[in-house]
Amino acid sequence: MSVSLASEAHCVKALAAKDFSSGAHPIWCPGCGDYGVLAALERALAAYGRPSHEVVLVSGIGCSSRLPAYTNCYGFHGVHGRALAVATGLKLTRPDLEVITVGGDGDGYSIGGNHFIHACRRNVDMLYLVMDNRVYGMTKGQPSPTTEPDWDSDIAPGGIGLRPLNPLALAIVAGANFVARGFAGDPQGLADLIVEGIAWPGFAFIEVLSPCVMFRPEQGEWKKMVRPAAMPAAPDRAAATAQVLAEDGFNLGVLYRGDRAPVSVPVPTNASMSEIERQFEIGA
Amino acid sequence: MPIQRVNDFVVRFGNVNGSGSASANEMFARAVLRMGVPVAPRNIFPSNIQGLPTWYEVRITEAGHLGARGGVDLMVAMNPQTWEKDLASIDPGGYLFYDSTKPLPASKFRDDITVIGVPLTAICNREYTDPRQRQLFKNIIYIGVLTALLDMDVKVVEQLIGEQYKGKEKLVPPNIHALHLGRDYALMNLECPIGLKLKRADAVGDRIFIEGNSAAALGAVYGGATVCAWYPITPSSSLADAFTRHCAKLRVDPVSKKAKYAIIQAEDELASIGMVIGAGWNGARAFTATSGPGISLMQEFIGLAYFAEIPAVIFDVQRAGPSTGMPTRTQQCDLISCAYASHGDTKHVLLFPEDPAEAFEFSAAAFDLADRLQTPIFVMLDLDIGMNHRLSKPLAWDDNRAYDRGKVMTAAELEAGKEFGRYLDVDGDGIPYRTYPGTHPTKGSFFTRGTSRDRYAKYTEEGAPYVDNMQRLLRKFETAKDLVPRPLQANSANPTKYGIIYYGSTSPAMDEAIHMIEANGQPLDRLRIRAFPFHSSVPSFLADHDFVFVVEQNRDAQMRSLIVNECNVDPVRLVPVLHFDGTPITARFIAKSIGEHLEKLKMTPMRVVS
Ligand SMILES: Cc1ncc(C[n+]2csc(CCOP(=O)(O)OP(=O)(O)O)c2C)c(N)n1
Ligand code: SF4
Repeated sequence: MSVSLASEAHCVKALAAKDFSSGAHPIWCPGCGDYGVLAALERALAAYGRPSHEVVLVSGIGCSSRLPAYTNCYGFHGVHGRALAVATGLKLTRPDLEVITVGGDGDGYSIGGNHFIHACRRNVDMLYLVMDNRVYGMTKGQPSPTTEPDWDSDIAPGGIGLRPLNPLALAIVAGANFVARGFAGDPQGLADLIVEGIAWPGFAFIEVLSPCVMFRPEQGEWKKMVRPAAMPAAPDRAAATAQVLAEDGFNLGVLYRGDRAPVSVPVPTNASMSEIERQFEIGA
Repeated sequence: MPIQRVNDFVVRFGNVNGSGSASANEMFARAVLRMGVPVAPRNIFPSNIQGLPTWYEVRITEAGHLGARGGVDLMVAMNPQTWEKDLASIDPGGYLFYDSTKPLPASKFRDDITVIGVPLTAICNREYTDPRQRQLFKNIIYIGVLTALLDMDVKVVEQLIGEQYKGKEKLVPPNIHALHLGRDYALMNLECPIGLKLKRADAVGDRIFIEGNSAAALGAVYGGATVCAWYPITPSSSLADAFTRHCAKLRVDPVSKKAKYAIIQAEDELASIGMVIGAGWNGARAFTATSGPGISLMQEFIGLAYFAEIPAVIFDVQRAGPSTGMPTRTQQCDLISCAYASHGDTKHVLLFPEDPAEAFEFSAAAFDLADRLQTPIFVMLDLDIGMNHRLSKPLAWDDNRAYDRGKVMTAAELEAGKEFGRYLDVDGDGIPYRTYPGTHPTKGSFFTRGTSRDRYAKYTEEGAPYVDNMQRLLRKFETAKDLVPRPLQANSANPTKYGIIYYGSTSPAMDEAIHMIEANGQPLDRLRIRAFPFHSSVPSFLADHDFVFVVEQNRDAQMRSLIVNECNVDPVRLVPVLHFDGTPITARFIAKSIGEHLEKLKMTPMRVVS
């Protein structure tokens, strides 16, 4: 049976968020923002309407990178910082699948920083969702590239004193066409962004403010600070960059939409083994 | 028959990660120590921050056996999630202490153990209203119960509470109150003491209680390290943390109060090792601390440091691989990936400390070796040594000890006309002279590269100078054999054709196992390898014995492979004894594996086929 038939069969019945849950109990701390992201993602996938076996979630290593295991989509929990590389290889060879990469700020902006830049400029059709808690959760609370300069920790008493990275500005400058910010405490708003990001042709980046209750309890205040962005997505790359550099980091919504053409790969009509193997053939 | 033992038993606490039990459990271990009885505690923790099962095991051992023993005599079962597993882990005749607030059917227990129920939750709920207080004081209450069950000196625990809350004196009385809530309940309602008892002794001596990572970090400070570039990874992060703390105390200019060190949390391990190499190239003493995944990422840079001959120190606190593997479990599984790290023909110096005292000593020595040999030096720790408190002989340092900065040519020597060739083997030991950048305006500068060059650091693609250089690197490796810590040999009182080779954290279990094996009438000579490349006493030991057991904590017998590879020995004569489930190796395991093998040898004499 072909994949398209299978999805039609699934589409007969509307999907619910719970259809995307693996049933495994997440091992995040109670109150961790990542629960909200998981809920939003399941809701978004249900709304988007592709069945779970046509969706692949790719991640690196970290608390947030555990998310794919809690869904019943195909999952790939790889090595720290390299999820986007795996996802790129996957999407280019199986463009029929919906590819979503998730992870943390340490995973994506520190060790994975260079892959992030190149994924933005390569513009392969996928969604990249970063759960940014401005800290390394899994390894017990070290500062990350987005940590505030004066945040006090064991390893850097008094703060690291470094300018935090602005991931949205970086993404826009590096060539991303869809750049948005969501909040873990607003699952519906985030689900809407995710649906739009999945549907977006090319690379879509959503930075999600996702509090770490264990090492950054003060992030509990974020819910009072976030607001829907008042400004419309800026019209061009330079203006959008200036806009995200100037704002306070709590505006939610799509902050930039560009129009670079995505990398387009012909979608095979049939994902069977014989179809894949036909591509191995050497033609004159 | 319930187990009856004094100062020699294993208590295991089963808790939930993040429930605040860790500090109470550690206080219990420290209290035993204060009573003059040695302890060997081990933390068995999950790769998660809050909510998963965690265990803390305290081996109480007046005889001073510091390896894991295996088995449990008293299980403090505070985690319903792991009830079955915890119950099953108790040795026959052992004891189970649990929270009896909710009654459990008899089928939930075993009839060959003594069950001790205390309604801890009920006591807490009666006493406290705040849920966080209920949680935290429950931990202290069960410690109070233990003081009664084991006949401990409660004053010692009170004193420890006082020390723990120094500066927060308000917290002392409520903690002491909680301690006595538990103790009084037990004294009034339970038969105290049970068959396991603690008696004051004088068996601790001047030993200190320290984690290997902290000792290694202190060794780095004493060894002259001023630069640490690292990336967080369990189980090595606490080494960088400890270096930060030690430096804040010990490496601050007394007058200007300025830090005389640089600690950089890099963007990843590639950057960390690069920073270390950059710092080492100009004469600073620099190190990184990591674990297996970091070592994998550093490979290319390690090859550069080997070929361009740049000092660097790498602490590998090993955890169970491959890939992310079991990130919070211990193994000795990176020997091969470190010994031959990077592509092309490479070989590196590895040091194998057995405990915190040696971690301190070898850590300091590593910086001298790196400068002397102008090459990366690996200090091979593991989670068991690095992240557990270990009773250890006091760290010793001779204040007259001078740093060995290796062969560095000075401006005066250059000025006096001494010949400088960066890769010239003037002394026949394979080690050339280097200069620090900026030494002299016209002489002694050189170009560092990872491409082939001649003895004067000039680029070349000619075969002969390439071979000349590669051969010299081998000579240098030969030289290393006599510079690194020597193996330690301990011969059995009775002559024997059989030997054992072991290294690193296997040591305490081996010290205990050897008595068990010899008590069975099976004498064995022992060699503890402390470094790679192997000193000539390793091949002599092999030559002196028909069969040698190589005991290690990995699947692929990595030390055995290194021996086979480097000592040209017939592999049949090296019998692998392998423990690699992620728990620390035990004396029981070693004695059983070797004992069974020796029995087999007795029954069917094996012939060595040559
Ligand atoms: C090569 C490598 N280096 C280091 C680690 C250790 N490590 C695991 S998760 C992590 C960072 C986690 O932080 P982040 O990506 O922000 O995710 P969070 O846990 O905060 O969700 C690190 C450094 C690793 N697994 N692999
Ligand atoms: S440590 Fe932080 S990021 Fe990790 S699960 Fe807990 S709250 Fe979430």
